[in-house]
Amino acid sequence: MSEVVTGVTALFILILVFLTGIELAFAMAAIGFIGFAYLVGFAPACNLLVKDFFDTFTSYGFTVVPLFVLMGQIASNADIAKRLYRGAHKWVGHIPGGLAMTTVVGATLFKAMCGSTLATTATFAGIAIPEMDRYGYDKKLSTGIVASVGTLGMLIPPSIVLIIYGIVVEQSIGRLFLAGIVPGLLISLFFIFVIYGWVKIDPAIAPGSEKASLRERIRVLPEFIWVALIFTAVIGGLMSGVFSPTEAGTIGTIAVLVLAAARRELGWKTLIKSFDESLRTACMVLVLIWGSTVLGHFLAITQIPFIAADWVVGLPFARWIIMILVILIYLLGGSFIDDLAFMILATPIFYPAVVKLGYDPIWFGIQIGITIMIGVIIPPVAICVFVVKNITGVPFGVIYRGVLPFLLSLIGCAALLFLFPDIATFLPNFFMGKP
Amino acid sequence: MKKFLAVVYKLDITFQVVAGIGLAFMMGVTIADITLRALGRPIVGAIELISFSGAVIIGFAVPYSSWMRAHVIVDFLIERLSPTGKRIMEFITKLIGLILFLFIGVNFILYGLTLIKTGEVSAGLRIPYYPITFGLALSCFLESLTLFAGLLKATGGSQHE
Repeated sequence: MSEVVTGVTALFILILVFLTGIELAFAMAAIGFIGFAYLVGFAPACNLLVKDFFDTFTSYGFTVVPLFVLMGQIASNADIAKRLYRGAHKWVGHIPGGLAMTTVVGATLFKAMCGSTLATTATFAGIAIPEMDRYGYDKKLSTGIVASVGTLGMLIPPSIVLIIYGIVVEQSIGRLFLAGIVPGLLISLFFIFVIYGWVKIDPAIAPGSEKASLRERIRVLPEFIWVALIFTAVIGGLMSGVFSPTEAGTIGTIAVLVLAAARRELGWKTLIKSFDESLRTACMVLVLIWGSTVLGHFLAITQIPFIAADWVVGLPFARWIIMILVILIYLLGGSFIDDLAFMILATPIFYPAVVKLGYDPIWFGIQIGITIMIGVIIPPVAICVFVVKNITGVPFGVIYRGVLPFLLSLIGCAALLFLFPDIATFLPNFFMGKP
Repeated sequence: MKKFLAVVYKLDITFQVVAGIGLAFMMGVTIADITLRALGRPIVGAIELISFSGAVIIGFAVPYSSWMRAHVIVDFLIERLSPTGKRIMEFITKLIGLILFLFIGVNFILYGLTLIKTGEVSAGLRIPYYPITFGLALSCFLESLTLFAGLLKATGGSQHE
């Protein structure tokens, strides 16, 4: 069997093995190992398996992952989200649909500290939905917006997706963080427009709530200031090159830790819970990266990524059509296996083609971020919808109907970013110069 | 069987605690390095210490993550199987994982022995690499045990979470 045929066969087997319910990382490592042993030899394959495990886990670059996850978990477990939600409520809660808008504003601010999609969705499902229920909001709107806002963490720094993408394709995490800010805020704005438009069409879905006095509004301002300070320290430090991503993650985590402890919202139980949850999440991510690294080394021997890149570039279509196809593959792949796992698996294969087509790697990272945002709220693996369903018990059909308008706005934003790449690349190019 | 599952669970928790201590240590070293760097006296070999902590953090968290089913799986097809079919699939997948990690553990021991022979150490602090490989080997063996426990649970239907 030639190397390419071996590689293609291995990829088909891998997909079949995925369906058995095995841990994806274990399957990737096992198939990568067997393929490498078949093509190169048993002893080098043993060496590869162990060396990749060792190198992945001792990589300084990857130490950023548990830190930013921990930062988010502490913020999530220490009621910081609740305070932000209440603060945002005072400012926009009285507008028709204001509580749903409050959810968007609160989640956007919270995202500046928490890169975890599931943590944000779960946190806001617990805070925002009961509040919206209290004011008689339609379940479609309340559950739909909570399932959708969780996705904002894919773009707004410190996004775990962008960190992993940056490490996989060896791009600056600071640049990616900066690139995610404008599209992330744009999507938040789109969500607010959708709520406004929806409530205009059907005012019954979101009855108004009482208006806070100016004094009350000013009193909650420190909630936002703390977030702004932590965000500026983390992103500013990274951008200016004062901190490495690992150092920025540590600074952010310690800042959130101190903030929560100063407010007496962080007991030992909460701290241990945060450590435990972040270790599990970071372990899940890095074990996936190890599995894909072993598989990637095997695929490199088969030349498949390079052949795929040449083939994709040589397709008789305009490059934008090819790019749309690549994005659709991410969407489709992410619909059947976990979106993040698919990104880790597929990026080393498609990235060379994307670069060969002349696309900006930073822009591509943001475009993939939005694609994953779409992926986590569409069936069959709509993880954010699953979280909302588990917490609220609202039927899937109702949540999906609520998600639909926000999904359309996400697609609209993806299209805008596709047509105007500067939306993502302007900020990093302005602050850090062109690469 | 219950006793065995309880022992594995306790070991997993112990490794998770070590991983947590590793995470706290890594944060401590990083913040100390930033502070001392600002004072013109950075910690020599801070990056090595952080990297080695990374191995402890993630390597030691693997077994407990498996116990808690934190790893990503595709379950939409097996969810449609009968309870017996599900158990058979779980048995097979756990067995594959068990063999894989047993194999990695053994190879880590061999790798560690090679590192002792060659006397390989880190560039800055001259820390030998082999304790890390032996630590990771231990974690791989525990992961195998955890998967074996999962295998027993799949066949016996016992729960211990």
